[in-house]
This record gives sequence, structure tokens and C-alpha cells, in this order.
Amino acid sequence: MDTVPEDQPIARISLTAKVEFLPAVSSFLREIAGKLGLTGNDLAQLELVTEEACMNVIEHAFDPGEQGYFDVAILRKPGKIVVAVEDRGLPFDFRKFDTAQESGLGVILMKAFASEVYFLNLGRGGKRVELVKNLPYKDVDAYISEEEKNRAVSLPPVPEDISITIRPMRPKDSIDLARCVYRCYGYTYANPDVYFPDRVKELLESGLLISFIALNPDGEVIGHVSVRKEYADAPIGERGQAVVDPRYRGHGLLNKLIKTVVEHVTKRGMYGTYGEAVTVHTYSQKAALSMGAHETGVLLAFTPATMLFKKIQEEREQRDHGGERVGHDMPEDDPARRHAETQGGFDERHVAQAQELGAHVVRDADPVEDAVAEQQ
Amino acid sequence: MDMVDKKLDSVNVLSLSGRLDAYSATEVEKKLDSLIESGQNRLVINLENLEYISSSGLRVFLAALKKAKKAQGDVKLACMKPFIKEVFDIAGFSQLFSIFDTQDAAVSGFSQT
Repeated sequence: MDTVPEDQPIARISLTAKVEFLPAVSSFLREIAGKLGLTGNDLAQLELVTEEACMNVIEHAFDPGEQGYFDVAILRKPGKIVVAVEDRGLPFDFRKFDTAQESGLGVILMKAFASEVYFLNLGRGGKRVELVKNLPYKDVDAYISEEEKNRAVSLPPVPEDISITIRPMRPKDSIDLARCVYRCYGYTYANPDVYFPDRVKELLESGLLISFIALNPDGEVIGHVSVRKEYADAPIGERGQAVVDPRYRGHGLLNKLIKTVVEHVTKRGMYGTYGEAVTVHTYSQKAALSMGAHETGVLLAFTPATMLFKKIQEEREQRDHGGERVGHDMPEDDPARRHAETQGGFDERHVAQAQELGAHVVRDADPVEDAVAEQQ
Repeated sequence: MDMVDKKLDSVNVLSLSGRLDAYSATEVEKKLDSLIESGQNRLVINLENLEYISSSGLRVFLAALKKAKKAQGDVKLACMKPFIKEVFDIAGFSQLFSIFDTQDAAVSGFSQT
């Protein structure tokens, strides 16, 4: 399969909602998912979560004596397989599954073994459970030699007058990007997608990812910024995966990359981008602020305390994660920030800051509404 | 689902092969019930050739454990493949059962109690 569209239906079966037909679902799934590249333990896990979703339908979706039917559909998405179990039986409030107390054994197993699970009520269309399994692509380790790993972080800074090229990333650049991320972050980068070159390749081909890379005169990838979209025609996207090779810090490269990618998506008709910057990652905060972004929220205790950024904050533990639309973070020396970091929460001293964030959200909303109005 | 049972000393060993899903769970449940109801409540289930298990299979084992214990017996499990062990671990069932690497160890486990 050369390119993977955003959402490609592969196969669908309809069955009577009776337990004796479950082995047929398993055979169908094994055959199709196996052809799509899922094997071994991953395949067994997908079989299990699919059976659990089907059993929920068989046992609970229809009244006793009612002849019910359900569908099992398999879709291929970039980097993943999706199994959708659909029925038009009795409505159900899936919010019950949000708590462990209300979740049965089957739901616990679904959440543990699927890469992602979505419980969807479709109104008159019935109910749909989507079970996502990431394809087992090779990670960056398979592409990097031990020698390259060892030399990467010890290289000296490069002079600022060196010529750097910025251009759109192509699918074949994905391995070079993975190498760059490894050089910058080792295995600590928050978004695991970047460690799987084939997954990035598929995201680019499907239009869900728009990326720009910076290259040095040797053609080596030394920087990257992307915009990730929920679907190919999405009018907004998340700016992220900002990476600059430690040797090239101080070149203003991150600002240039962000400016380039934002201008690019704006020209293509997108309303804008938003970003989330980790609070200890001051480079990405400053870069976003310099292009006119502003803070709209803070998400505490999101990123694991074990996450470090090479050459930025080696000695300091990660405390919290600033999640903002189009922008950034509380200043480094703010006493309220220090309190949040050390005490792990907000109190009355943070009210003014919360109000400021709220004002930014309101201010942000206007340009979007204006753009929608212009199109109507 | 294939099932073979044999007696070793005073312990009944039931070996399962294949897939223990919601469909085959009924058959296994009947077998375990019949063993326990006939007084053979010291059970080892050998899972060496069990390839797959779902929550329906787990529930069958749990029901058998409760019935066996009520009759002063026990159910011990042996020779789990990694996937089966993973399912038990995630479900929290590894803490409910005595699990052994070998059938002999599981059978011997009864002589120590």
C-alpha cells in the first residue's frame, strides 16, 4: 500500500447478535488485520477488545427475544487499524464507562489493550465503539547505529552564519526527522509518533500532518515544526513537534520554522493554529510569544516527571505542562508559578492569572468568528 | 476448544487447548461445574496450549474458584502463555489465583496445603 488515505474502509460484516457468531468475527478480524500488518500479541489484543465490544452488544443492546443485528467494520487510518462495532439497539449512556467503578471487566480490558477507545452515540444512527490499534512500525532505534547515538549529543555548537534551508517535509524525510529528534531528546520526547518514521510518513501522505524541516548545508535535518490536524480539511491545527538540533540553538531557527509553517497553513485557508508548550521548555514558549501567541490555559501534572529536555533542563524535574491555545506560559520567575510547581495546584493567588487566560480565550474567539462570517 | 482431564494423586488436572472466548466459555464452565459437583474440587487447569482468553473465560475460572473453595477445594493454574498472563494481570486475576510455571508445581501445591 503506497499511500494511506485519511480514512480507508477495508471490510465490514453484519451479524445476528448471538454469541455463536463470535468466532466468525474473530476469524474475519484475524484475516483482515493480519493482512494490514498486525501480528502476534498485538493481533490477539485487538481480537480480545473486539470480542468485548461485541459481547456488550450481544448481552445488552437488545431486549430478550428481540432479533438484533450488529456490524463490525475495519478501517485503515494512517499508522493504525480501527475496528468499529456498531449497533442500533437500546441507547446506552457511555459516560458510565468513565469511572472504574462502573466499568465492567470487558471495558477495563478494552481500555488497557486498545491504543485508543471511543464510545460514540450516533443518535438515530445507533451506537458505535471504535477500537484503535497502532501498527507496529519500527521505531527510530532500528535506523540509528550505536556510534551515531554516542556522538550525537557531544558535538560542539555550529557558527551562526552557516546557511540553513527551510522547506516542506516530504514523506521520505521521516527517518531523518526521527534521527534529529533522537539527537535532541533521546527517547524523552512527549509525542511518540516521531519515533516511528513510517507512521509520520503516513500522516504526511494523508494530509493530517503538515511539517517543515530545516536542513544544514550537508542536507541533515536539524529542525522541525509541524501542524497536526484532526482531519484533512480541519480549519485549525495543533502546532507542535518543535525540534531544534542542540548544535543549532541560538540561530533563531525555531522562530523561523514556526513562522514558516503558520504562514503556509494560513495561505491554505486554515483559520489558525494552537500549541501546547511544556513549562520548562522555554525555547518553544518564547518562540510562540514572539509570533503573537498568548496564553489561554494551563494544564498541571500532565507530562511525566521523568521527562527531560537535553541541553535545556537536564537537572530539573518536569513539574507541569502548560497547555495553551496559540501561546504560552507564565514567566519563569513568577512566584505563583513556583507555588504551582512546588505545591502542585492553584489557589487564590492565581485568580488574576486565570482571569487573564480567560480574557485571551475570548479575544481569540473573535478572529475565528470573523473568518466564518466572511465565508458565509 | 479441546479439554482433557486426568487424575494425578488426589488432584484433577484439566488441560485446555485453543481459544477460550465467550462462545467456548459455556462448554468449559459445564466441564468445571461437573468436576466440582462430583467432588473433584482440587483442580489444576493446565493452560499450556491455551492461545486466547477473553473476559468470559476469566469469569468461568473465577466462578470455578469460588465453587471449589466453597467445597474446601481450590483451583490452581499452570503453564500460562505470555498473552494469557497479560490478560490475567490487567484484569487483576493474577492475585486471585495460585499460578505456577509447571503442572507438577501446581499439583504439588495441593500437598502443601
